[in-house]
Amino acid sequence: MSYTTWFIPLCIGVSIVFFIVIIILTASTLSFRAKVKQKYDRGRFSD
Amino acid sequence: MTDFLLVVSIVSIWIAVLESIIIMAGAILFIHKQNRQKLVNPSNLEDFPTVTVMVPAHNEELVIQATVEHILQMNYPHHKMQVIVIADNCKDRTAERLRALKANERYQGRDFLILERTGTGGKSGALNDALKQATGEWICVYDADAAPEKNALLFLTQKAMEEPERYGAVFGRNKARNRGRNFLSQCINLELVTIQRVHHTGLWQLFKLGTIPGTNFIVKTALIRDIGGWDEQAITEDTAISFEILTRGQLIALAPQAEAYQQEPEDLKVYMKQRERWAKGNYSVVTDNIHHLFDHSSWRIKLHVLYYAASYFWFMIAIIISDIIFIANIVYQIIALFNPAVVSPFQFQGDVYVYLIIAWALMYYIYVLQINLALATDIGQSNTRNFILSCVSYFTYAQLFLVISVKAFYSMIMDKITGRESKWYKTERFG
Repeated sequence: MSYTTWFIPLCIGVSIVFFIVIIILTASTLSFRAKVKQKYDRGRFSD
Repeated sequence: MTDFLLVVSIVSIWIAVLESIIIMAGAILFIHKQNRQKLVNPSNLEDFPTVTVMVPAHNEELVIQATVEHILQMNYPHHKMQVIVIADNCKDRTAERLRALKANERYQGRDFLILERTGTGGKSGALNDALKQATGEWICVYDADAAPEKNALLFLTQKAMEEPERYGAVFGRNKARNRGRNFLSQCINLELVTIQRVHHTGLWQLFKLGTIPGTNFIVKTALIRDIGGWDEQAITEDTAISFEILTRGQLIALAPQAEAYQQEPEDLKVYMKQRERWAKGNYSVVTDNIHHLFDHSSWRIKLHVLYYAASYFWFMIAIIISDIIFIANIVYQIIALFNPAVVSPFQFQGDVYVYLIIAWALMYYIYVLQINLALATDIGQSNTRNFILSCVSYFTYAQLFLVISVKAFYSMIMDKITGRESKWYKTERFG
C-alpha cells in the first residue's frame, strides 16, 4: 500500500485546520490595527 | 528516497507553521493584556534598587559620547546609579572622548568610571573586568551604540521589582535608529520589530520564556557573580548567559516599555559578518545545551533548547531540502519545454508535491502576517511601504539567513576539525 493513501488525507486535514487558524489570526491582526489607527491617527481633524 | 525527503520537508514545515501560530496567538494575547493595563510612572524612586550600568566600547569614538550622555541623563536617581564605561583595547579616541565627557560640569558628582583595559576576552572580558568594580544590586548593559529612552532603566527595574525573587534578569526592546537608511536597514528593522513584538511577547506570555539580548537588559549582580561572569569563550555571550540563568531556576522577564535605539548594519558585508557570528554562537549554545533535552532539567529549559535547535538546525535543513526540490523541479520543467526526454530526479507519487507548495504558501502567509501584526503595534510603522517590504523580504532578505546559516555551520565544523579558535568580531559602526 502506498504511503499516499494516508498521507494525502492527512495533508488535506492539516491544511484545512491551518487555513482556519490563519483566518482567525488575520482577523485579530486587522481588528487590532484598526483600533490603533482609530486611537492614534492624528492626521484626521475632528469638528 | 525522494518521497521520504518530501514527506520530512512537508511535516517539518507544518511544525514550523504550528510554532509560528502558537507564538503569534501568544503575542496577540499579550498585546490585548498590555492595552488594558495603564502605564504607571512611579513618583517615589527611593525604593528602587541600585544599578551599575556597564558600557563595553572597543574603538567607538563615533558613537560613545552620545551613548554615555543618553545613559547619564536617564530618569533614575543619581545616587542609585553607577556608570562604568570600558574602553576595551581602543586604538582610536574613545577614551579621550570619555575623559572629556567626565570633565563636563554637568556630570560632576556622578558615579562615573572609565575603565581602560588591554586584556583579552572581547565584550565578555570587558564586562567581567567591570563586574569586579560594580557596586549596584543589578547590572545593566548597554552597547556602545545604544540610545536608551529616558525611562528605559526605570521600566527595567520596575519589572524586576514585581517579582524580585523569581526574576534573575529583565530585558527591554531595541529599535533600529537608522531603519530608513537603505533596503538592508529597512529589512533589519522589520526583523527586529517582529522578533521583539511577536516572538518575545508570545514566548513570554505563554511560557514565561525570555532571552537576554546583547544590550538594554538588567541582571542581578549576585546571580551573574554566581554564574562566574560572562563566558569569554562564547561568541554570543548573551544567549549563553540566558541558559545559565534559566538553569538556576530564575526567569528572564520582558519589560516592553523599556526601549532603546541601536544602530544596525547598513552594509551587506558588515551584516553578513555580524549574523554569521550570531549563527555560529547560537549553534555552539545549542550543542552545549542539547543535553538538557534528555536530563531532569525543567520543561522551560527543554522548550528553550528545542526552540533554538528547531530554528537553527531542523527547520533550516527542511527549508533547504524543500528549496532544492522546488527549484530543481522548476528548472527541469523549463528544460522539458525544449527537450521532453529530460525528467526531474524528484518524481513523486500522487499529488504530494502540491501539498509541499501549500505548506510553503502557509509559511509565507504567516511570515507576512507576523511582520504586519508587529508593525501594527509600533505606531507609525504600519504603512503601505512596510507592507510591500514584508511581502518582498521573504524572497530577498530572509533567504540570506539560509546562506548565513550554511556558512556559519561550515565554519563551526572547520573550527572543530582544525581546532581553530572562534573569533569575536565587533560590528562596524556608521557615522
